[in-house]
Amino acid sequence: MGEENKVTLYGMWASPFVRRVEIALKIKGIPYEYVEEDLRNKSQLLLQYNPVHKKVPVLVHNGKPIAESLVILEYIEETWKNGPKILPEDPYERAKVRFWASFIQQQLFDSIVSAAKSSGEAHEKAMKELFEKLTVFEEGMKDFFPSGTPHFEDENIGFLDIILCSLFGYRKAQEEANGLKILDPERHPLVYSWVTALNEVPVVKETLPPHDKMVALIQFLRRNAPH
Amino acid sequence: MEDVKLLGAWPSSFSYRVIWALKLKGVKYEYVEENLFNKSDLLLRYNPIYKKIPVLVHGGKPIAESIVILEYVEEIWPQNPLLPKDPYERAVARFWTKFEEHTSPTFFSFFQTVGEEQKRAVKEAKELLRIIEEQGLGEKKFFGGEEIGLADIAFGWIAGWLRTMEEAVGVMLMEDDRFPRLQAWIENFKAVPMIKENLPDHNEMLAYFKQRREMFIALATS
Repeated sequence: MGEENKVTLYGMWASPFVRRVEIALKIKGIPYEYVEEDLRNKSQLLLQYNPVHKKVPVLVHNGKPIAESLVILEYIEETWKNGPKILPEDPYERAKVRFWASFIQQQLFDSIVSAAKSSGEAHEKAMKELFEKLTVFEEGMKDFFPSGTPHFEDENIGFLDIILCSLFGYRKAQEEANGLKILDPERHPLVYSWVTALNEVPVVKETLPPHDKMVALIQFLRRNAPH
Repeated sequence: MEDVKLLGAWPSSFSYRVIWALKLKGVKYEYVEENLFNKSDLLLRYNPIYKKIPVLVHGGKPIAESIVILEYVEEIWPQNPLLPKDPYERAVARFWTKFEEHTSPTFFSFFQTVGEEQKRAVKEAKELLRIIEEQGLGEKKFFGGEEIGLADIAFGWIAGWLRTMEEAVGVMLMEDDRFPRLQAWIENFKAVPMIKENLPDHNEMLAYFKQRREMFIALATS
């Protein structure tokens, strides 16, 4: 691959944010080079490409770096116009998708992290808050799946599907590592069936980090978490 | 042509973001002032998830979250664009717009806390302002280049609200000559005619902020 149109993704195997970008690149059929970063020993290139946050993912296209996973997703959508669309064509539908993407990012992600990191009474409180937010999300998603059953033919997954994969992709590893059950099929049947259907899509399966490796990482982080 | 309604609140910089975008694009709209201490049924119906302003209602269809609204406004009314055409430049603008979102907790903390917690917020806030000035703005006149764009609107609160916040709290974040380029940006931003005509009254804002600050101090020290 020459320098022109070269795409490089700087990532880390366990990062849900990196995973979002990988799924998008694969859906669009964009060839790319993947560079694994050791987050305890970040490369000079990463620090140069993302001086503000010093984080992965960073997408470098034609030598120009882009950071922030959702910004990268919008860039991919706008740059590679051939192939499947990740966002809806209609502006109002796009606004709805962006609204819920923001909800997932700001409400659900933080709640899951709080629930995972806490114990005792704080944990009970965090779980309760998470479940309440999941209920709000469940209700909101009925708008997108009026027939109630998400299914994905031809891998036609989009923005919200990608973000959801990154949110719930590790729940089996979370469950095994610290008994954290964040998705209850009885309380949130739509979200549960959506995640289950997504997990069968090949590009989602391909990008899922190895289960045992993930369990080990979660356990390691929990043992070594600063108190 | 479908009607446009904006539910907003006069002290809110988030509300003004949408006003600026609509005015810059010459979009006619009906403005509905919300009392945030007594929210209308309309607001609760249009934004049941967060119950917050701003909400844009276009042809009866509501959109919440200011940046989501701005992206929508940009797509429906492309005149006087807030985003450049080039996808990379757009990504840069969106990156800084997202960065602004990340800074909210620090500035809220600066306004709402006291003592050690506030000292930490002050230090963090100054670091953020430094990054915004050096890496976001750089040598440019505006975040958007020669004209204001999405990121300028997202950082608009620094131009119209920060000084008043500092006065109400009694702590300076942007001391005199420490942030010359950001200071120049503030002057340039406020000089844009559509912005100049649409900024809250300083005295009213100060009185409001002082009242809110007193409330937060009471909460923090109770």
